[in-house]
Amino acid sequence: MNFSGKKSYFWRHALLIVCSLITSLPFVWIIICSTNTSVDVLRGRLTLGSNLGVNFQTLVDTGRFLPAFKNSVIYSVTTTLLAVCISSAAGYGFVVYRSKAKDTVMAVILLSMMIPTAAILIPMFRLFSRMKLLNTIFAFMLPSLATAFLIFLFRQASQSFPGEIIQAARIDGLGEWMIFFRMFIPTMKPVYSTAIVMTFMNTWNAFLWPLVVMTDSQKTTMPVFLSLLTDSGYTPDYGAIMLAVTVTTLPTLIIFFALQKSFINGLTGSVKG
Amino acid sequence: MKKLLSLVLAVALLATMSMAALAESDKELTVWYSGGVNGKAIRKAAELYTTANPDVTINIEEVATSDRETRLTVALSSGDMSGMPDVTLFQDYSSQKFLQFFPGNFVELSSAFDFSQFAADKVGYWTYDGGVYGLPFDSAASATFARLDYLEAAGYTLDDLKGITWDEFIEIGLKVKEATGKYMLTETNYGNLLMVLVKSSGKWYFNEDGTANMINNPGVVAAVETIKKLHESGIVKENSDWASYIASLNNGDAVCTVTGNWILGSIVGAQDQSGKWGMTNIPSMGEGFGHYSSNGGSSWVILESSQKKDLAKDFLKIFTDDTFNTFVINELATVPTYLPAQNLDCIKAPYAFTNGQAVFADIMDYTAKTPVIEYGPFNSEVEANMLVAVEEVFAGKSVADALQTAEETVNFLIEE
Repeated sequence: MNFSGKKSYFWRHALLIVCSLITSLPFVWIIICSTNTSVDVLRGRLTLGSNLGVNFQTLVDTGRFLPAFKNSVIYSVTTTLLAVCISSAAGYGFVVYRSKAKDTVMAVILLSMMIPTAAILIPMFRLFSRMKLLNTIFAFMLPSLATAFLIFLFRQASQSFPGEIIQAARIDGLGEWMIFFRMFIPTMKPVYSTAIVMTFMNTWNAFLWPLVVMTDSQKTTMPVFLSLLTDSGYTPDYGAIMLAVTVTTLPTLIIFFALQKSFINGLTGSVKG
Repeated sequence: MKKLLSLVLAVALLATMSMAALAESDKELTVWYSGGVNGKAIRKAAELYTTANPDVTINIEEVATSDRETRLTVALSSGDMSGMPDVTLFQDYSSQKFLQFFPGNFVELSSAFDFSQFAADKVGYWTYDGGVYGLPFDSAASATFARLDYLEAAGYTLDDLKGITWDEFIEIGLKVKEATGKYMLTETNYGNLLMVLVKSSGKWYFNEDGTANMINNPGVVAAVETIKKLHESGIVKENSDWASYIASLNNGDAVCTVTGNWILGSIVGAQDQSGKWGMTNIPSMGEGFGHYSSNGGSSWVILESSQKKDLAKDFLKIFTDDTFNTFVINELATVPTYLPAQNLDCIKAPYAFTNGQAVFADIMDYTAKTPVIEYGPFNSEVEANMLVAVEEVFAGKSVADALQTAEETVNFLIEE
């Protein structure tokens, strides 16, 4: 087949359009389902229905939907911002400052990536319970503030940050914090975007830990609320579930699309560097 | 800047700690549940109880079944029960696992309740070491639910399905399919049916010493053989998941379903089918096997960590209350396991959805006839491996070989 010229341009695009339609079909379907009644969803209706308002009311009537959404937004945004600040400073420090123990510390941090959450769940629960932090934002936030992945990501990115700039800034009298805020952060925007997208997705979708430490029904998050909806006895309301799924997916989608350009730069940039 | 930051953090920590330290009052109960019917029932129970005892507050919180078990497993394993409720709903199949692995963490209830007044089959799940640790609520007795109009179109009535064997069921099914084009039975992966069939034999998957018993267990062998016959007959609509199974009922794609009577709650969802349904007992696997079984279901449990055990026990007594049980039958189409409820007027009343048949009285009758069996703690392990065995049999493996493998795997898991 000839792949040059207008004809191939048409075919390539046709193929890509078909692929993107197939990929987006589940999302479109979720949105369609969220406007239908549960029975219509089960009967496989593929057209928009008029039940959106009713489904929304069903979710609100649970008394858990709005608090869960609010909690998810507050917990995830706070955790993401703090985690990115702390981890980027740590990653930066690993490269810029000299210490003999640096590599050993980094190795230990990386090792922690290999321990699954489930393995430390019980001791962590005890720890947080003794500190009386259950059902507080600290229980949600503290374990994910400094993650090995983020520190590693920022360490790798910092290595491509020219040391001359730091030297020059020091000579010009800029303090260490100011070098970090005024020089490092602005140049590392793509890496920050990547870190924000990844951390937000991880914290927004976190399930096991929030499930165990947020036992108060008014403190739960969206994934735990979703799990509850899908388990509402032998007759789940699929219309309402799909609406909740749509609402749960939206924030990550928005964050991703808003930062899409620099997110991809951040990923490819780290390979180039 | 650093000092300021640490000061702010310290103040915030202290503030949350003091908030968490506020204790709830001693006239307040926290209850965990899940499921539509259970939710409506426990809310009604709380309403009736707090009307009679205005000084009591009952906090009812919905937590998904698997999430309840995850939270309780973590809390019980760590020995720290903070954040756990006073009363919780528990799946009957998980009962022995929790009772045996975490003994002493559940409140013994036979001092507060006369368990001879409850369906023996359900009490069996929660009996451990001479004590009873769970209060059964709804009956899980299995039944055959059938579309009367489809049967009639093929020249049959509901009575033709009563007290038959599975071979006869398949025979009728083939003729009904020929006449109406409808599948005789609708199922998911046969997981529910497998439990129904094995239990109808009166014996469960385990030997007395706790090891798995499948290959030399006539009930298990007959169950797998029956499912093989059903699968090969072509009269079963095999659905990939629960949602499409429910849909097949609501869409009228199938004539029958054989499962716990709680399925009625989903069947009545399609109100356009009112008057077209009937109910009878389940087919037997042949000589020596019965027509009665049960599957699914939950019970209420009080946690030993609760500071208000007596209040919790007193609250659970509402499940033996006539007003409460009348509500459960009339409004929730659910049959209680509290046996004296069979004397209530509402249970004998004709039910429009099932063409006037008084199904609730029949379910009470099935409940009393359900065999009582000994459950081990390893039901989820057994279930997973039995489903594998069924798939292997469908793929051509002999029943004996498939069960041999399943038995060995389960025994290996038990030893672990």
